Amino acid sequence: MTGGGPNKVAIVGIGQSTLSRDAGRSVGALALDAVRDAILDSGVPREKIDGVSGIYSTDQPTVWPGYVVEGLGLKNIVWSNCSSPPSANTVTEGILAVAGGACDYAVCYHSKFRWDMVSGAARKDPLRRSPRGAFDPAMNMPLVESCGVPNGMFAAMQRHAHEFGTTREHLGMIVVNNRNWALENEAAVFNDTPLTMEDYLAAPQIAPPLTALDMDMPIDGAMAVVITTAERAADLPNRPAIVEASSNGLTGGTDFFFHAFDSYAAYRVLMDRLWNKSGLTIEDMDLVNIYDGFSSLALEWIEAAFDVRGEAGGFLEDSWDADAGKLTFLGRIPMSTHGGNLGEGRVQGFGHVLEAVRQLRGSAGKRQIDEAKLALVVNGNNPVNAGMILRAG
Amino acid sequence: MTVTWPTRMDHDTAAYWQGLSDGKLVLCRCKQCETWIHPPRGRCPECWSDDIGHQSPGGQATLYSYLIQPTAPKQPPEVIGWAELDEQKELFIVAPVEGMPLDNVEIGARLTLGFREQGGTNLPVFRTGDTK
Ligand SMILES: [Zn+2]
Repeated sequence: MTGGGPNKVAIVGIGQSTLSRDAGRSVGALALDAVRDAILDSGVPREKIDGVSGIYSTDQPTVWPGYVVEGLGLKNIVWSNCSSPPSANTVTEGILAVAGGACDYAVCYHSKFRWDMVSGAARKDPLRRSPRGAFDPAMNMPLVESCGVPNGMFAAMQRHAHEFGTTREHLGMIVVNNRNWALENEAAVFNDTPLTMEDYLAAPQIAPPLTALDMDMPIDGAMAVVITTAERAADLPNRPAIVEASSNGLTGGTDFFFHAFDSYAAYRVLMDRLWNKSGLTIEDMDLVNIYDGFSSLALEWIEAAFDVRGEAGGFLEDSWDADAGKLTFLGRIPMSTHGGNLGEGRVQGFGHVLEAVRQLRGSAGKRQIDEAKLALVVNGNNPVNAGMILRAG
Repeated sequence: MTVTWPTRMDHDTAAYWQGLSDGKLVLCRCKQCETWIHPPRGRCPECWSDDIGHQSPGGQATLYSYLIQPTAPKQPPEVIGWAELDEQKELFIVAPVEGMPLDNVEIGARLTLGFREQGGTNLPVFRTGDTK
């Protein structure tokens, strides 16, 4: 390394478990599947993996790094991390660790599982019982419980519609786009389930204006990436995805409740940082993988990424191809070619990272886009988020 | 009246819950810069003072946003409102709104604070209209 600056960093390996409603495997086994596959894909010998990064969740049990280290016999770990959400924080932390020299080869993973708190169906399965114990890092739980734990994100969408005239059709464009891309992704949970705009508009609004189709599908699944320096990446088999910028935005507590209306502000902080650090603009991007835990969050992400606050409706209309059922921004930029969380399944935005790497490698198969050189990945909701810009190496 | 305390309470939130048991909405307010602070906190986010007092707001509010929340099986859902208190921009109390038709919830409607007992705890609700 010369110049004394931080190391340039690259994603050199990706791996994932099956993504399904019922994997027939534990969440721990799924995490090991993904981490093993990412390490094998990277070509890095197991002995050289010296960093591991996971996530803890505030509402559901998660697989912590020690489990993965033990489960895969990783014996040379000198750096580990267990981040707060969103899920891409596990990747941004790994990027920092490698850039700063805390470790040389970091594996970063996230796993999701249909625990018993997810649904009535999950509660009937004795193999989905979660460990007990509430966790309340935002310190607001009793105030929220007293009102029946309403979800501020739904109210944020009501407010958006009130202020800006956003309609269900606008949300439908996001949902149908992602579901149509999922038809071209064999790993997606909705790979064989087409959805038209008519289907979308006919769906019951369970949390008006949102329907079940606006909410990511809970699944059993895990994903992982391997990160090292761009210099070391040159000796590895895959075309690297170089990190041009990565960052977090954080503007408040994580209860999605009292801060429910600050999402655009939080997204703005992140986007400004990514553009400033990379020297790039949205016009430079060839692909945008936009977090879609709820379609309404993706709508505000699009406003922040394309700098169209309050104008998402018209912007989506201009980008919508009704015949294809897909969105193309600025005449050429597709969104979430793997299908996003709404189409591929809920690994909480981790699939957006993997898909960017695939597209930049040129290994996205039938959904490969031409000349994919730069991808924007944004992750999370309000007021906590993360994002990165990746370049084909 | 018997008080059922919430599942978790601390030094910041005790005055809020004690106030409700007394039939009042009691919020944190900075004594130095007069910023209202909710959810309750031990330090002012504006001026960083820890000189935090407690006051009751006037009870007049505007509906900022809402969601339709299921209640019990076979019972109609209810409107949960983000009531923006007149005292300060984006000072929200999140509470059920009574008297607003589910098919015509009006963001911007005027609201008045009230209370209702639920599971042994006195909780805030809002009712449509200004106090006469
Ligand atoms: Zn103050």
